[in-house]
Amino acid sequence: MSLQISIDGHSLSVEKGKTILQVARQNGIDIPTLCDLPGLASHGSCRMCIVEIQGRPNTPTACTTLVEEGMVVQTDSPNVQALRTELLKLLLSEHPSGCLICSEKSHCDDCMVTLRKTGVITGCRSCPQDGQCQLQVLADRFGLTEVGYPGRYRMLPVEKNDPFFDRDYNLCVLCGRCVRVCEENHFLSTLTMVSRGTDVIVGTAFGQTHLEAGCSFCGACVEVCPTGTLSEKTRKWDGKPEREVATTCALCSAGCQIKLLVKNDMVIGSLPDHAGESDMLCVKGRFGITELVNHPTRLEQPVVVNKDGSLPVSWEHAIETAAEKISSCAPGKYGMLISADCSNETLYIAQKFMREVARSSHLQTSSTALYGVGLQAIQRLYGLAQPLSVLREADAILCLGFDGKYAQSVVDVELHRAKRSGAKLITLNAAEHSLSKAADEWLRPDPGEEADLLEMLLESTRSGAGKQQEHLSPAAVHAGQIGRLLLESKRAVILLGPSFLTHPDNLFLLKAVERLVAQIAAQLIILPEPVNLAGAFRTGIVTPATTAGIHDLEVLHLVGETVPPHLPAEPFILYQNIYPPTRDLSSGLVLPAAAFTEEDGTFLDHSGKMRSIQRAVTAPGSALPSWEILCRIAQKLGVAGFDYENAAQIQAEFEKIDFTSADLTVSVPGLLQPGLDVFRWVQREDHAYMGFPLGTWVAGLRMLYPE
Amino acid sequence: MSTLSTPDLAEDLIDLTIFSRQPHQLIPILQYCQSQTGYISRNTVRQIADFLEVSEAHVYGVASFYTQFRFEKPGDHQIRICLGTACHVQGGEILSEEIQKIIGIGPGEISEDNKFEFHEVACLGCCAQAPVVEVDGRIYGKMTRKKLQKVLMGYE
Amino acid sequence: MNKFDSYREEALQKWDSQIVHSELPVIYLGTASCGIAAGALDVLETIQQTLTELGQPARIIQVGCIGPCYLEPIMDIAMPGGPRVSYTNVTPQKAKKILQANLAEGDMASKMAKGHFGDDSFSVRTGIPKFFDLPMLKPQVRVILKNCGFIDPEDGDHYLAQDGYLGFLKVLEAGPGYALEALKESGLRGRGGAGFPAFKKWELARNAQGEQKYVVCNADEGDPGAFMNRALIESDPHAVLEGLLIAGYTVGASQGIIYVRAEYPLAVKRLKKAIAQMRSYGLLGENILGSEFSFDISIKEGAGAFVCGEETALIASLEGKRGMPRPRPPFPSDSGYNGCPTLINNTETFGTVPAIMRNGGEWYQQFGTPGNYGTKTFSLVGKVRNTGLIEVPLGTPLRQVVEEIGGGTELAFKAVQTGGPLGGCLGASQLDTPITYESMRDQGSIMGSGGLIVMDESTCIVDMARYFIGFALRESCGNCTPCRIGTRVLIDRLEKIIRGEGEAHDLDVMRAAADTMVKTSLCGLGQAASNPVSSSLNFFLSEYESHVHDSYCQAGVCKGLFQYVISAERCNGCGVCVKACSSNAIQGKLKELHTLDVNLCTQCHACVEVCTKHAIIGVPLPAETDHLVLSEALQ
Repeated sequence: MSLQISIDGHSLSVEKGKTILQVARQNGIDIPTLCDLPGLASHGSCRMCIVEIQGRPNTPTACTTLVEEGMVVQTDSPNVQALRTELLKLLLSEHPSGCLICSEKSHCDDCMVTLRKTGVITGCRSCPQDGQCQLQVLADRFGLTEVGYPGRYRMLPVEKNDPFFDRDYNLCVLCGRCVRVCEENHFLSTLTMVSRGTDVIVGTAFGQTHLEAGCSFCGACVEVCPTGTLSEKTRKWDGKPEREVATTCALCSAGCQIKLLVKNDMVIGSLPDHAGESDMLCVKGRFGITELVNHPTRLEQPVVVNKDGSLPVSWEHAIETAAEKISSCAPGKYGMLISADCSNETLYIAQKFMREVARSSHLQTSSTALYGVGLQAIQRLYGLAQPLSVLREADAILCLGFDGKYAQSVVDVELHRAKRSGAKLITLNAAEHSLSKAADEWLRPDPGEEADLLEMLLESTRSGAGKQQEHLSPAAVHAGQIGRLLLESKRAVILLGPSFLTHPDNLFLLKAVERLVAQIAAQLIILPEPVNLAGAFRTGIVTPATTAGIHDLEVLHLVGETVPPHLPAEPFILYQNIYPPTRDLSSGLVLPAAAFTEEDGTFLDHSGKMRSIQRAVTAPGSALPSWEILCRIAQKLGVAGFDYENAAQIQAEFEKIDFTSADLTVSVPGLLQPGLDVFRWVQREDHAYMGFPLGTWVAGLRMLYPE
Repeated sequence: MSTLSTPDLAEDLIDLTIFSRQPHQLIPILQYCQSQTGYISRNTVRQIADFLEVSEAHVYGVASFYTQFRFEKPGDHQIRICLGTACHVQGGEILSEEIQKIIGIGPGEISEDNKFEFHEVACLGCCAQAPVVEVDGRIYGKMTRKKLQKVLMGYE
Repeated sequence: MNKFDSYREEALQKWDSQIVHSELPVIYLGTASCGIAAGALDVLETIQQTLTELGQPARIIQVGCIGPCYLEPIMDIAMPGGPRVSYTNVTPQKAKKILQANLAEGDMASKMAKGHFGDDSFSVRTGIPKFFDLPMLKPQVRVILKNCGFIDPEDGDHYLAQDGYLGFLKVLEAGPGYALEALKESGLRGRGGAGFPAFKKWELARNAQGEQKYVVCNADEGDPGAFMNRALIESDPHAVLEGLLIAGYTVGASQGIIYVRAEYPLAVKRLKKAIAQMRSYGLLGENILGSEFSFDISIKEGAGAFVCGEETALIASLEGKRGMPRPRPPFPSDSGYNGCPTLINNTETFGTVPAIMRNGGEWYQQFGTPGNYGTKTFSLVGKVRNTGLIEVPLGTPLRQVVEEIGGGTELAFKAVQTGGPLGGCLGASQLDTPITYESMRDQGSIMGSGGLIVMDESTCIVDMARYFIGFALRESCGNCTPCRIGTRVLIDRLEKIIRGEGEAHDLDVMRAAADTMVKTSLCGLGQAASNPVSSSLNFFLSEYESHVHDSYCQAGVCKGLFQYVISAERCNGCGVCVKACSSNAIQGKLKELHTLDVNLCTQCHACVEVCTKHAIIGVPLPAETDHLVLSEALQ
């Protein structure tokens, strides 16, 4: 239904139920705001968006006033401008604003370079948000020349005891965005307004740290803060980013779309790519990337290692050495271990390399060891894998072994949202987890008894179940009730968390899941941790393995994996990774690889959807994408078909092979045979990238996941 | 809800089941809890948050808005002086200074031995009897310095 | 209907046999909070003891507030066959004497009596004036307070005997249309302060879309200095409840909520009792008195937030949230509690409704003036001689209230603060203003909920402004910029001025902050919070200027901005001040002029308090005084 109104003399036809602010924005009329945030309910506290409405007293706020037929609005009269300036002055009287109106402000940049790092913010020049602050924008817009009101500094200590971001509430303008985004968009409500009147301040219950208060460290509050009150620790003094690069986060299989913030050819931060349909990130993608890819110990040059020590060499020399070692290696004595964190391009090249260059079938990924005997089941289930968006229509959701407290907290939010839309949320988990309180039903088996409970659930969903109620334990009765609930649902979803997939009993569990999916006609979401597990299935890297051991290898090629702590015999190790090996090699080659922020490529996310990564910055030193290293070795060995100029060309090749077919059981033809031997000594850490636990580089994660 | 959840609260366990689990019950629940234990402890906040299925921050944010709620254990004797307009005009502030001198603590404070707790409050609604002082719920009107000393001596 | 009629019959009979034609003496004692504050409970104990000692049976009725609180504790005795005689400022000893005289000696102790409730001939015989002829009470018109001080608020039968619930019965019979018409004709305006026509609000709520509707009684009375609602609830709770019941029926609500502040425990207690009584009379629950109307009333206690007297903040508080006001529209009558149509009116508004329903809207027009019909209760407190709860027709000039009813001030009158902390001060030149919603506004103040705080020359206007802004500062919800920060700016400048460091520019800063607050605040609190400053700057600028330019506080309140001197004309050498002074600053022999040493004086005010002659006055400091040194010395 549309109405006619007038804003600033322009006649507009607008939708009923919209606010003046929304309508103004749609029509390119810029009304200043501070507390408003599209996507959040309007707040009306800052009063910046006041306008004049004919027939109404004073100046109502545009953000809270709904349009009405015949409304006549003035958004920028002298009266309104004057009032807005006064409001800004009032705000600035309670915010260290010296620099804003200082006559020396353009000079001090030259001589006060390190003023920023003083730890107590007294003005813009010492504030991490200098140049990125909403108050500066408004002051500029209103042409502010003085504050004019007596000042007040709250004298609060800066809060530094949490990981990832600091809080200096002396700068807070009480816009409430942080409180509202946590409550309305993320359903956590870690923050609140505390007290009232002049003493109002943002905080947690009893002033706990965010860690104690159950914050998921998704960083949404930091993103929406208009001032320097909330500032990321790793990005505090970097200033404004130069550009933003849209890419995909590679720290799990969720496939969240992110924007990398880049300055001086370095990644300085990451934010959700709202344009790319990701509204939030989890702590890993939000705060883990900068430290992950920028640690000083990043590998930069190829290095030869032998018993005399290590020696940096040229790529030329390194490739030559590698080629030589491979060609002189006895048949069946060459093995490759490749991480499922690698891009499709690297994985594809790797298996091509195994077939055509190394001519060896000893290709494994640490994920094989991770998933053990359940691997085939996972591969089958991938045929049914759906994207997270199916949660929105669900009427019943069964989460198995899922904990979205920190990692994958985006999924937690989707689950809460689904619950609010009326879905019944059921969780099965032996331990306390992010859904313990929120779930409508928590099936809690003793650790190790998950399979039994799942069996009971399965039993109760079998048609004809529910007849024998006697002699059942309370747990079975409970499982029975839930089973019937699931059976009666029309759009059930089953979600498998990372720890469910890696469970020691996963073979039984996954088979039960397969049957359950069929019995209740549910959709399935699989959320493994390795970002490109689906890609690894597709390229035939991941194959079911037997338990026979591999004994000695002469050459062990590690692509994105760490050096195993013990090997039956020390082979020559070809090591491709972004960080140095965790232990000394007796002999080998250390080859610097590019991280996902430094190369183009693709992954298949949790639902098998193709996601791309973009090269945002130059890899350190002379590091190269892993696929390129393999290609160079292949070329050195004179094998044809490895002269790709870029990732796109590799894509073009494997795309011919119906790479994105939903059926991941069909792997690339001519490949390795099933029944291979597993490298028993393979390990994989939780929350790792290229074999290294993220906590190695990201200090904050060690606080969240103390080991 | 859960088949196996064990709250880790040792003290201040209050039976909240007399209330319904609805958001509008929060303030009556807080009032009830405070009437039981004398104040709102961290455990109480956690318990209420679990009961109503809201965050602790939400409970704390609401409780901290209203002056009725306190987060510290109360002193043995509560002295409240009214500083409403009528009482102010009739010398309430000066009387307040006198009280502070006698018991040795300022507004909002509890004495070392936990004996006295002193607050200045907005209005007790006995304006025609200004200035008014309330001790342990008992109201004394037309308070004077002399009378004050007498009354407080009784609690020494 | 029959059952209720029988309850009423019983109640009437009980009233007749126990009160009107009682065979026993009836002793009335005022035990509302005012009375208790004055010591009524001790008096009660003494009454009970004395009756036992004398071996005389009597009926003790604890009543509510009859009005002149400065006379509390008030004890009345009605001997069988005689009128009720009132004794005031009754101490336990006095009470004993009076009881002995009346019960054992047949002596009315007329010298101790203040007034009576009989006829003129009784006045002639005894020389005791009629209670309602006393100067404080004569100009008053008791419509709302009709029952206060006469019935036992905890005995529902007493209310029934005073035409209780007849208003409801009439509305039930004649229909909601009658109720709205009567309300419209009466011209009753919301007594909480805004003065919005009550019938309009009721009509809006009645016409609003929604299955579930609520009526809410705002008994949050946060204005310091106002206690009318408390007094009414403690003295005649059923009047309010009947009003709420009528409102519920008229607008189609099934739930009534009384939001009463937690600082009124006695009021809460009496409400709970009264609600239980209503239930026992069949006036609450399903199908009341056989009609289609189902209604119940619950009590929610406020938790100490003045801002929750604002409608939308009150609703937020009911919903279990921080009490933050919301922008209007939407108005509560369309979308209020839980998004449902909600009628919110003040305690007194509901308390007035039964009488209007019983007597008709036109009847109400005999009180007050066109556009401002009816009566209103006020709390008359501060520096007047006669403090208490009063009720006058709207349109009564302020002067009559202050001088006649209030008995004037001992020291020179300075101002009367009306409308609570969000109102303004009216000075001597404005005393002829009639008390109406419009005239109060025209004079730069508001009627508000009815607080009238009288100040004399010993009150410093700047100090009062600081006091009020301090209140607003603490009570602001803190959500919107202009109020949260504006109040801080105002108090910052006021304190600067009070310290003696004020500059002319500070007044401009305050005016600018006040202007922004008025024009851009989200709710009424923010819009009005600066009133005490604005109105005092307008009408008492000289006091500010005296503080700023001369560092002199004329009232002798702001420490360091005056020095004490003992007036030769007034001092009678009684020596009381010497004893009160804890710094030995005053010397003097009995019956001789006393002297005060300013170097020893800490300006603690103790001597001023005890001097009945008002002989200790504040005078300007010598011009060469160093204020900073002086303030430090006074700390």
